[in-house]
Amino acid sequence: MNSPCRDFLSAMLETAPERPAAASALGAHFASCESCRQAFERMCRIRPALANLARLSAPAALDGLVVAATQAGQRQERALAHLRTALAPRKGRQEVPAGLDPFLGAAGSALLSGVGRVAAPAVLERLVEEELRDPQQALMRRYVSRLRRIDAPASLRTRVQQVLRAPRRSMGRRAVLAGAALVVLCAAMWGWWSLEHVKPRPKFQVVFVDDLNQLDPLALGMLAGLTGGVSAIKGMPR
Amino acid sequence: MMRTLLATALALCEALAACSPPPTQEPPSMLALTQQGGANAFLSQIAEAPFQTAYYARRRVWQTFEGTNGSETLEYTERVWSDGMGRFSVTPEDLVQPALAPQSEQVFLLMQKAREGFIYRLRDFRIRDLGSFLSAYRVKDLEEQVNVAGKACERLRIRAASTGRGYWEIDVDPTNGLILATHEFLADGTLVSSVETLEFQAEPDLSGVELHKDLLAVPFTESTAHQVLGFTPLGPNFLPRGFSLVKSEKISQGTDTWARYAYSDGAESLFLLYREEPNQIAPGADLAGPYTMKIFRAGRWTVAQASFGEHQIIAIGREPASILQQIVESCVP
Repeated sequence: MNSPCRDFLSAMLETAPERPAAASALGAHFASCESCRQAFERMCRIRPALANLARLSAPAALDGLVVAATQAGQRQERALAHLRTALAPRKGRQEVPAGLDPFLGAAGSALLSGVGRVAAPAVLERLVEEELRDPQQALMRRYVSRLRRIDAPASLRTRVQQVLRAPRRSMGRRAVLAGAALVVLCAAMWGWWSLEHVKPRPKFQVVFVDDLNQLDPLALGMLAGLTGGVSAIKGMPR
Repeated sequence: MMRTLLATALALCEALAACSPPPTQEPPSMLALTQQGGANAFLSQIAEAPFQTAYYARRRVWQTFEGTNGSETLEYTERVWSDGMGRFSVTPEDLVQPALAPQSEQVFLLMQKAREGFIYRLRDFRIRDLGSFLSAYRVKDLEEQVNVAGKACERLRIRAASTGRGYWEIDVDPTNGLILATHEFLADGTLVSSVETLEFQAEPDLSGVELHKDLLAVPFTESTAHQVLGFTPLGPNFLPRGFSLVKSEKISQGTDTWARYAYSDGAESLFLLYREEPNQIAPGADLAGPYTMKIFRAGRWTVAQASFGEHQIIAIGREPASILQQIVESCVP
């Protein structure tokens, strides 16, 4: 199909299965283009066949799937708006449609009117709010709560009991640590006090002396006796 | 008889020593007298004999010392009496050397008489406390029988258990335990002093002999020190190994009151003198010093004398000067 033929295609779809006038442009084209004329003949045969096919309804979920696939956020907003409307104070609720009573009948209406309106529990609003605020966390919480509980091993009980008994020892340990800290503190304070109050130790310069007369007389006398007279003889004139 | 007993006891000691591990500082023949009851009794007799044996002896005393002109010698004779009841007399006789002026010689001999208490008790080798002596010294029987003043004596060698010190050789009369001759040697074997008995007489006539009278000395203890002395004396926190306090007493030198501590390791003696002079502190003086410690040497003895503030401390002993210095410094509060 060349370019002029492509231009006549839409006209052929709109016209079939009616026959175009020979004087019309499409008719003139058919006169000169055999392929377009044959294509138009096939369109005229197929179109009635298609029109006679049984109509199939679209799946109910298609609409939701299409919307969810194309505009997921808008769908959640709509659901939230619906819930808010549904949970709104009673005076804000929509009234029962006028045609409902005839449809239900007198008995049905009386039965429904006798049923007391049950308000949703307060916790439901909180749960819904939490779920809408963070669906992933709500989902996780829901599934965690469904996990199978596993009993604690017996050894755990023993260990817990040991831990519960531990405070008595830990108190003692803490007392020891506190005592040690106190001792260290006292030692530090005593050291500081000692440094502050230490008396200056005399420094001695040692001098070797030959002149025994510089000795104290008491020591001089003792030394003479102890040495048997050696110290006494040293200073005597010869 | 006594000689036989001594020989038997010492032989037994020798046998015991041969059975025990060899000592580190003595040859295998070293006697372990400290482990033998008989030998200990004999050593105890040696310790007590000078004061429990009545005797007279004339002795020659010989010593070398470092004088102003190098090595010098002091030699003199003396006469000794003991009444066997703790009292004694030491009278110098003749000064042999050095040659002094006559007046100086007389002064020297007079002063020697005045010092007879120190001379008799402390100049010569003595076993002062047997328990301490056995811990600090080793005794060896040289198996030599020598004649001293007509008495047959056994020669023993006494050496400190610690190394580096000299030793003594003593000639002991086994009948009474008296030491009739003492020879002191340096560690290298050089003889530095000797006291040898020239004449000996047992149970002498003591009439006319003036026995020594001790000067007044009042003993005190740590609790009574302040009451006895009038002040609280400083004591050493350091002593050479083996030394312990023998006695502490108050002595007077003129108007001065001293605390005198005597220490011993069983044979050697060590003294500490302490006195307070409250007026010696100069106003504003720096108590930290520096102060001077004077060291004097005479023969084998050393003196360390120091004063700081109101405290006067003197240490006298045969220990090295550095040891005496430590003793004095350890008295500082």
